[in-house]
Amino acid sequence: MTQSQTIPAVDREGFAASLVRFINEELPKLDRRDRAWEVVATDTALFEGGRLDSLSILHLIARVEELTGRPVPDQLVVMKHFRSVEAMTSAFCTKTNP
Amino acid sequence: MTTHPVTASRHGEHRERFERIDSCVREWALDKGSDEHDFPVLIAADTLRRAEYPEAFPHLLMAPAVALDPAAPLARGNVLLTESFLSPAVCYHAYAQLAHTTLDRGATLTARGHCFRNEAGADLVPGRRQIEFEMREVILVGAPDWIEERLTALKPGVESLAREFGLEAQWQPANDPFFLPRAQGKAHMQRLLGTKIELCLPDGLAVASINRHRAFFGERFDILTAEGTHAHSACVAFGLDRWAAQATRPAAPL
Repeated sequence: MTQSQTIPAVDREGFAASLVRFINEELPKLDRRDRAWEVVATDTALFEGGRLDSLSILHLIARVEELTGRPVPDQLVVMKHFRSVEAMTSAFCTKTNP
Repeated sequence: MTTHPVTASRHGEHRERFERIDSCVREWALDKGSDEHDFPVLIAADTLRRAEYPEAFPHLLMAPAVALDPAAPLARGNVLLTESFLSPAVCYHAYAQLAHTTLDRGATLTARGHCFRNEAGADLVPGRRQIEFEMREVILVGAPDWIEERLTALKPGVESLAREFGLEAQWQPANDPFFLPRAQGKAHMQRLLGTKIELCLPDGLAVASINRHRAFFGERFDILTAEGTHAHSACVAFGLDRWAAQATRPAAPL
């Protein structure tokens, strides 16, 4: 991946809204633990209280990759980029990669 | 020094250095209130299944085998697995020992043990990566806050021990080499949550690690705190073969 590659035309609001919808509507269907899911907003801390687990993060990364059209390198899977939908939007919905 | 990459032969000066290192780490662990244990090389298959080790690390797991037909030579095609595996780490024994108990306070254990991991042949280098190696671990099981307090107190001690033997190392975030795609998420979670950090030499070789398991083993082995919640756990692991091979400074004689 190079620093100058651009991503598909997804604006920040659309990117964030798509992720919020995915977390609130799609992830619960994929969850096999049959647990209650609290509704998240763009600023919700996604990893507090065990909200997301090891399977969720794979789905979430896949969703980011679908939205951006490019793979998420392992070195970018760090808390500062995945703490919340806002953080994910800032990290991955830019004209250039973080 | 003679050290075979897949085993851990030691003698002479190298053996003395190895034992001196473990003696220092052991004394430190005991000084920090650890209860010393000796665990066997073999570990019950059921223990590792409960720990989900075969799912996470099938490529590393090793098992003893016996002859399917005792009248024929023990060879490929005439092997039968037993209900034991070779221990891949020391701390699993501790969780099995504490299974179905309620802890009235946090437990700190230490043990040195032989560990076996089916590492790729091309990666095997004595003192860096071996199929059989020895680890000393300090294992913590208790309430989450207690675990964090203990780790905060223990971490500088690990750094001091490394300096004592001339190991100039820095803590770095890390993740285990999970195998299956599903388990790759665990690796991501380890990095995201900072649950695994390694004390690494400048060339990247990890000589110690701190591993936070949260309630993973407490849930799977039914270990409860006095409050009735599943216990959290963590371990501090020292790769003794790596310490002995990489140490540049002799510590005080035994």
